Amino acid sequence: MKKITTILAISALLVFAGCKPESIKDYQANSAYSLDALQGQWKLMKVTQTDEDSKRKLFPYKTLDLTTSMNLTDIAINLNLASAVPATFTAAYGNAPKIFKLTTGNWKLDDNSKPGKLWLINGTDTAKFTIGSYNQLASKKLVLKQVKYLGTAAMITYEYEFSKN
Amino acid sequence: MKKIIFLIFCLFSLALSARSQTSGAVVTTIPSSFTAEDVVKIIVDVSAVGNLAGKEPLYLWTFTPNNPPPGNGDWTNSNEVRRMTKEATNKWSVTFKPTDYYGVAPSEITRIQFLVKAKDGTGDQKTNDITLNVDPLIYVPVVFRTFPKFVGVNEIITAYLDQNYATDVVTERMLPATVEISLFNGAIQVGTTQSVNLKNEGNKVWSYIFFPPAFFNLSANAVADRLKFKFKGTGRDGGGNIIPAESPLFEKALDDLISK
Repeated sequence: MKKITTILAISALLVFAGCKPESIKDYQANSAYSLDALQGQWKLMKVTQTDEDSKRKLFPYKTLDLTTSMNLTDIAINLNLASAVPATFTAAYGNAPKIFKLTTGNWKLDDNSKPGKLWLINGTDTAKFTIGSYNQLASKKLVLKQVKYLGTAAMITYEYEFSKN
Repeated sequence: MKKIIFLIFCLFSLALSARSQTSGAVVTTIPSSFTAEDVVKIIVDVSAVGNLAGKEPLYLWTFTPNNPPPGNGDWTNSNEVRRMTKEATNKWSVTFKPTDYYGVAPSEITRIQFLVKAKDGTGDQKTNDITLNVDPLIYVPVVFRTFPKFVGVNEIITAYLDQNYATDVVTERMLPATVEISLFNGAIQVGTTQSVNLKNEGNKVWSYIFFPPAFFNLSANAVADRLKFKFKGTGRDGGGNIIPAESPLFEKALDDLISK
């Protein structure tokens, strides 16, 4: 019995000794991301449209691949830097409809060092996007998501996958 | 005899006139369609309702699926909990989730019926009865649908005709070729009607994808609240001869979707 008690006491001591607070490391920028990686001409390669209401209600017809529709792969966006910060953009549509409405203007990020959102701006018109995984930037892919709301409920999500030469 | 006929005519005219003073309410909902589990905002414009235009405040008087607690009140003294929200002159709204508001299971709410009235409804200070259909919680396939279900004028829209669910023989048996698509704001047409070729998706399903601003060549500030679709093609008459055929007119309400 004494042996068991001793073993338990030693185990408890070891468990407590093993619990040491670890220091929280400082944020380190994702190596795949840089403003340089974000700038340049991005050509639209894939577009999907998701019906968020159907997803919520578990209805069929949740996502549609629009890639081969309406010449959408004609679309290309050029993101330019000036003095190492986001500056102007141009959007070329070719034979596709102007789905972002804008053709020129300025682009901005919510945070230049670790952006989550990207905006294309021309006067009072803004096309708002959420940036996808940074890791895809390393393989010269940029994923932008656009969510359309009715009140507070998300109704439609567009996912645009761009690539850069 | 002439006097009696004249009297009957006058009474009939009066009855018609009184009735017309309660008609004309324009009802919209956000979203454009809803289930019993969705929060819905019902907006009633009483500008054209002679007995209510200019009056305020206005009250909801609901009776289907029930008159939920604490009740509508008396006809001459509506319950204050039924007071509607003023959106603009002659525009009143109420927002609720049907299952919460009526306190019943979703399966018991297939439609909502109500009218809008003054606090004291004496003298027909009310609208006619208003009925809103409530979508089922399960998916029900239909002959016409869009993807996505909720669309705005600035969204990419795919319209589908599924002949497997046609409710009329012409639509079920026709060989579709084109669809005529029109855009409206209320009763006013926006842009011109476009006729385009359909894509055969197989299994008697036909589709067309479009982006309204480009499709209708809309100006930047164009406003629209519904689309109308008519599918056209050919069928055969009793003698086996090919004849023109067309589907009923399908309407799709547009919602005001915004990017955040």
